[in-house]
Amino acid sequence: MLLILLVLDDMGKLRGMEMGMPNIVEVKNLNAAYGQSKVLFDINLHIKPNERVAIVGRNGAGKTTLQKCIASLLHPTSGSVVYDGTELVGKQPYEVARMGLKYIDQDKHVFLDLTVRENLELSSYATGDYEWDKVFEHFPKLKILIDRKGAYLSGGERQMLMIGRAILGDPKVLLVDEPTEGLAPSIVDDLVTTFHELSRDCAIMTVGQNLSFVSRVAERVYAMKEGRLVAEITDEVEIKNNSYCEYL
Amino acid sequence: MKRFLNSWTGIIIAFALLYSLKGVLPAAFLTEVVIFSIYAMGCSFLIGRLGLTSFGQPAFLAFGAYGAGVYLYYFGHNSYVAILVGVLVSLVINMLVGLFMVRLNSSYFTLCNQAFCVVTFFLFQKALVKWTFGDNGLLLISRMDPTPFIDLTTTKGIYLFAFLVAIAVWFFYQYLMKKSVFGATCLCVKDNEQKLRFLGYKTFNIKWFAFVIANTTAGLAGAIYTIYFCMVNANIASVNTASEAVAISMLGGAGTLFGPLVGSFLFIGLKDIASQFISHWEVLVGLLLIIVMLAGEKGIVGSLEGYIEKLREKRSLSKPALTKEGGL
Repeated sequence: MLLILLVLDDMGKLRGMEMGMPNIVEVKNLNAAYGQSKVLFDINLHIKPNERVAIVGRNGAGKTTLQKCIASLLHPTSGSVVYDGTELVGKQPYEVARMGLKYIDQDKHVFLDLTVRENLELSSYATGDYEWDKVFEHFPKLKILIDRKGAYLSGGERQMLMIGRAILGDPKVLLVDEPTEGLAPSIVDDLVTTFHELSRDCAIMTVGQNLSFVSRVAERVYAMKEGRLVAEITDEVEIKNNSYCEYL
Repeated sequence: MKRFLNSWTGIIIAFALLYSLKGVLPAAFLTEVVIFSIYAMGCSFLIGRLGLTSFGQPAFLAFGAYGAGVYLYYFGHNSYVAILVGVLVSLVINMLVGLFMVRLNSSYFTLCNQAFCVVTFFLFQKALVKWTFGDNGLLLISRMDPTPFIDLTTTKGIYLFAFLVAIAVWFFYQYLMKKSVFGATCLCVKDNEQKLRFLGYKTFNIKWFAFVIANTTAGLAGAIYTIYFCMVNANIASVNTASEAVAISMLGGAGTLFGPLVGSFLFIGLKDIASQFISHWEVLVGLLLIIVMLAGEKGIVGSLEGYIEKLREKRSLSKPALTKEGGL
């Protein structure tokens, strides 16, 4: 059975979700609030190893808040987030990052005074991973821009650098917030390919409003509305047709 | 030019040039410039590299100064040991105070440091007057023995010693700011602390360590100050002088390697020269600071470095970078 799955897989790598492996991220009954204002209501979701999951919803639905809670950047008021068997609630963001769950936020902010090389070195130093070949394999342009300061990179180049920084240390999960915001369509196309390639090595959860991008990348989609997950779509055809729009 | 100045050779040449001005400018002036530049280096590092402005620098200067002074007055007569004691006292105090201070950001950090300075002044002026003699201070002129290698009891000796210590401090900060990952993480804390946490860095430790390094540098300056002036009194911790270190740092260029030296030269120069002609020399310093800030907010050295950087980037950006294989 194992041999058949290996043969069938395009990339020749075993995909955790096809083997029915346990979830790499499990969110249970998560609630969060900003002061008195409650923003997340009983969120339950999961991510399998090497899976590409998307969360879609309108502005203010709570997508970013959900990702920040998973990454321990925000403390939920109740509920649990289990990553690879470890409870994340109460942990510091740097501890979660060291465990292999990386968050890439939407502002495309790289360290402006540091060069591309220095940005990558920072990540390498924290993770002990100096194998930059895998970064340049996904983003060959970073090699050309290696000595350019972050302040002089374009939006697409910064996005490349942020993802490149995040994949050092071989994370098991990448949480990417609005990866296509402000990017040209041609760059978005490249990003689709990149995400497919990256998911060979790690699970990816992306949130966004670019439904075209979601339909090309995601294997499973959660629809979010007013702080609640209102639907989970797993059917490939429904995802490609953006059928989850009706839930938003 | 920028690369040369920031290299080890550049540091030695810069200080050698300054040292050689002994024939032209008073040695006392140059010694004071060097001591003040060491004092301002820590402040400059905090402002330029971490974005933390501290008006509490006189307190950290005072702990180093009194550490050395109390040793010389009550315990021993070796100036080298006095400096070491001053640095150690400063180090311990900074390690403890830093645990609380670096939890604060921006204005809160600034004001709390200033408050700490006020407390320190009270401590040395009133609370510990039995040992520090308050405003009268500790007179140490007859309490220092000649020291081997460089005799710190002589003007020439302390002059040379201050320069050698300054070179060592500059080498240290050159490594810290240009070569070390720690220096890069300090810049990142200033830029976007949260982003650095996403990468797996415990930013509290970075800020604390930087606070200790910066303010122990001030303590070192305080210890040398005590040896040079052969006395220390509570006025060294006066909050009235709290803005001097900040002004020197901003004038020269906060976060730059030579900013504190240039700023110190100008500040002490204006203080010594202008005060002979006008009573309120501070007005000139203030005006100069306003002009320099309006010109670029980066101070003299910072603006110069920024200008060189822009020229360099213009040249590299004009080269084509886009290739089909480049992807995104």
